[in-house]
Amino acid sequence: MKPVIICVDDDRTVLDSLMRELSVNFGDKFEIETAMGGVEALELVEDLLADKCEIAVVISDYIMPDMKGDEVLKSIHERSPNTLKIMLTGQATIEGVSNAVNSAQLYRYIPKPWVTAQLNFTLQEALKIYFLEQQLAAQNAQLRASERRLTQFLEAMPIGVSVYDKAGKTTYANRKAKELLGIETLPETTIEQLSPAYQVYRTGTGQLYPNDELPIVRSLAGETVRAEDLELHQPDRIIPLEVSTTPISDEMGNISYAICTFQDISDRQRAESDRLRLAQEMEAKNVALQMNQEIEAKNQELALTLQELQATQQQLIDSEKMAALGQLVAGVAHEINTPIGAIRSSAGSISSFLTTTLEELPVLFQNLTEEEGQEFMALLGRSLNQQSIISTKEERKLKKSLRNQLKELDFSEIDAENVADILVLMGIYQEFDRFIPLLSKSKGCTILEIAYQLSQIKRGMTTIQNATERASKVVFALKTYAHYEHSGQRTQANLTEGIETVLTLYQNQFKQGVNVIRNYAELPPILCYPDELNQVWTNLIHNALQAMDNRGTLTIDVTTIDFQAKISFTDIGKGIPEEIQSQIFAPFFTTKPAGEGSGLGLDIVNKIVKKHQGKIEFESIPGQTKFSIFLPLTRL
Amino acid sequence: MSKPVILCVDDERMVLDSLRMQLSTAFGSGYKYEAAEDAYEALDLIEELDGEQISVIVIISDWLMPGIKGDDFLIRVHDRFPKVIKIMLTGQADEAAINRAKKQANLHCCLLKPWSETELLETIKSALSKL
Repeated sequence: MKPVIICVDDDRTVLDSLMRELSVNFGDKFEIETAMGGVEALELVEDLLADKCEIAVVISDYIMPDMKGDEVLKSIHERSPNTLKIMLTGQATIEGVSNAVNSAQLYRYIPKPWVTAQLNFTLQEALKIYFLEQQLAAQNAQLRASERRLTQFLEAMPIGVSVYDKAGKTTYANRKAKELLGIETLPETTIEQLSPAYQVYRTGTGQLYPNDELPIVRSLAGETVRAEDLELHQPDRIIPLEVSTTPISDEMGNISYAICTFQDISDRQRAESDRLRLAQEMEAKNVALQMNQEIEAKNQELALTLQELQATQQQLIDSEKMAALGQLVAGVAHEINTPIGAIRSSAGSISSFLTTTLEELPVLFQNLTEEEGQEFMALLGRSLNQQSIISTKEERKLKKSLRNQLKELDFSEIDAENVADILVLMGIYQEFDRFIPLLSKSKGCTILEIAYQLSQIKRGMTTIQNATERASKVVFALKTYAHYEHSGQRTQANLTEGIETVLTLYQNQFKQGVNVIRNYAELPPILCYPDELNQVWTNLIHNALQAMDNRGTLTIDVTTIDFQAKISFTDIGKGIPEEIQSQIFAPFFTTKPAGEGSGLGLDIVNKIVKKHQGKIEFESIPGQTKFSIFLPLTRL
Repeated sequence: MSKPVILCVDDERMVLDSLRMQLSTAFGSGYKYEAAEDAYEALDLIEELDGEQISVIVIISDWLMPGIKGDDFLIRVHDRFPKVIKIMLTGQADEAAINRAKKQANLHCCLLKPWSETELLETIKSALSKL
């Protein structure tokens, strides 16, 4: 729709000529309308405005019968202020023109009769201005809109924005800024008191931010500043801020404002600390995970090693046991060979006696009177019933005294000696007077000899019995000691029997000068690993003997104390030096020269005792070393 | 003139008894058979017999005994009575001790327990034949 040019006159001719002229020059761009008089003009304007037409120019006559031109123009101006108004008249008063100028912003006054060129020129200029104004208005509207949008944006921004002039006065603050600053209206501030006015503190110090170091103050001096060490203290909370300030210069390059953007970074700080914490937790978790894996791996390795060690330990215990057994074997051989030697020898002798004596017996009895026969049997009977054993020294003493007594009874030197020797060997050295008559006879010596030989058979048998018993005892002890209980089950056993087994095996070592004192209290059988305990006794007895160089007294005490069996081995040896007392239970610790001891003895003792839920203690001073084993009295 | 003495030294009474029985059965009344239960007793006895002009011609000694061991005992005897024939009879052969006795006591022989009758008697016979 073209903009409209309205011509108002009460003279039809004028209107027609204007119409003609204007159509020629402006018809292509404008709609030319005419109105006969002011009333019609105003009606036309109303219609056009209602139709949203733009009225660019109104050319109005001044003198008209219904309304004066200035009034018409004033009314039009009220309705369409942007319309340019031109007055075209031949007789306008000064008052009318100035009215129009004042109240209708009259653009031009053109006198009648008008010159077409002037009218055209004036109109062209007017239209130019009209369009410029139109443009300006549009631009203004745009500007206002964009300003409004800008303000909306600023207000909507989630960060605080505030502007300060050179004096430090706050000229603008957006909604967020007001919220953060805790204000509703902009306070009167000066550049010297911004910190106290807004309660700006330096982070973590609890002190107001030095005013002259405030970012905004520095920006007002020309710097662009970014800072994160500010806090706003509001009555109910403290807000950490991130602040950016920038100076704003005018066209001349002078700083006129500074703009400050700031935001609450408590979330960010929280997020940051959360992130840090999370990162740390993550790191910790990773480390923990890794450690767990490593620990798991190590555990498996350890479990494996433990298994190996347990296997090795069992081997060590077994081999230590065998080593101890090896040490014992030499002694044990002696212990067995001695009785076997005695048995063999006695058996041989008995055999010879029987051969010779049996031949002689019938002859002897034929030559004996009944009385002599009875005496012979009495002599033999005395000898066979003789039980007590006397020492060889005692024997010699008895022989000597008997010999002297016989000599006094007129026995020859040789007879006295023979008879005395035989009687003592037969065990007849008391009340032998009754046999004197028999022995004084010429065949007395032969009778005595035969009785002696017969009694020898009995003594030989006794020796064989004793020797067999000795040998079996050793063999039994050896069997008990070397026995392996593979079931791993505890069994009921008598502790003192175990100790006696070991003592039996050590018998020949005691011979060299060890006196064993046994103080055994009555002890119920206890649930234990008897083989392993034998190893304990062996080690402790062996150590005691070594400590005493196989000479001295070994005291073994077996008692019960607090529902425990206490077994103590006390030697009178040189004692354990204090400096090694703490090491004696350590594996491979030995005081013996290389190759002589495994150094495992006490370690194994300790392990075995622990396996029995027992404990081992020792006290040692030179001349008295006591190892005590405590074992719980567990019954089935 | 008293009979020469064969002396047995052993801490085991059963050994002494069987030895004496064995020797007296084998060698009869030509010798006197003495027994001592340890080296001290034996040394005393030898001195005592020497005082009575009775000579010990053979000593059969155990090695492992309380107090003085066999080799030491025989060495001591050898110092005083080098002519006595010394025989060791042991259940526990200690090489070093035997060698010592051989060198320092002119040990005639070392027999091992359990001894055989023949071996013992032959050894003693061979020893006696040296006299």
